[in-house]
Amino acid sequence: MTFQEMLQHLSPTVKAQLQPFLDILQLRLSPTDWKRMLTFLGSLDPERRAALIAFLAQRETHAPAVGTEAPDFELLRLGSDERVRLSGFRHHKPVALIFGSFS
Amino acid sequence: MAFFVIYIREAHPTDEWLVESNEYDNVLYTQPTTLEERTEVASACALRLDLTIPMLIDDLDDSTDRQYYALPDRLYLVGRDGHIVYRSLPGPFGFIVAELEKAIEGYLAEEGRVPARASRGARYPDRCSSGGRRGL
Repeated sequence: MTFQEMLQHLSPTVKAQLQPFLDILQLRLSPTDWKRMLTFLGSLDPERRAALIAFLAQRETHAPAVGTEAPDFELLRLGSDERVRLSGFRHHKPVALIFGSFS
Repeated sequence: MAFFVIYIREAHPTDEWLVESNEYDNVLYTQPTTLEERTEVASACALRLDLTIPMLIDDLDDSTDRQYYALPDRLYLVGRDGHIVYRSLPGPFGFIVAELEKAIEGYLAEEGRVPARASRGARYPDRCSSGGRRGL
């Protein structure tokens, strides 16, 4: 499956939302990484691929915006049994959130 | 100020989209399928990068990642009132720690507070791995 075939079912709006991201990837990724990305996307079942592409296309319009309420969460803290709740900091401290993974 | 690393799903595991920089850095993990596995990789990450910022582990449904549209990586600042003060562009290319630092300083200055030395000296992950040489 070619990249164009993967994108052909998308609406013009979604394609337009995705384009800046694709431009950056093409500019910044090595040819090997770009090829591997296409192989990975091609290996996904259609439903999962569509979900991933939608996530990427919509993330700037759907991510919580500046000035809106931060979605609350309660997560396990590494190395302890403690669970940390974001709303627990309200009225006490500003909180910096650094999302990422090792890879 | 409070700082948290939120450890989300692997961006470039070996069984999905492996990138060359991770081969170079020997950051080779499959996508965790249990919370225990995700916690193990998070521990390895914290250890290898010598992270001192407390780490919170997202659940296997990726609930927090989905709420914040964070994958592969992203930075936020949440104000004392619980509202978003700063949101970076998505990583790896939008993951610019200096921008977060500026946002924190601006926010604290607006509140009439000066950034504490401790937070200025905190260890930040300097780059995310998918675009750079080091993990997270």
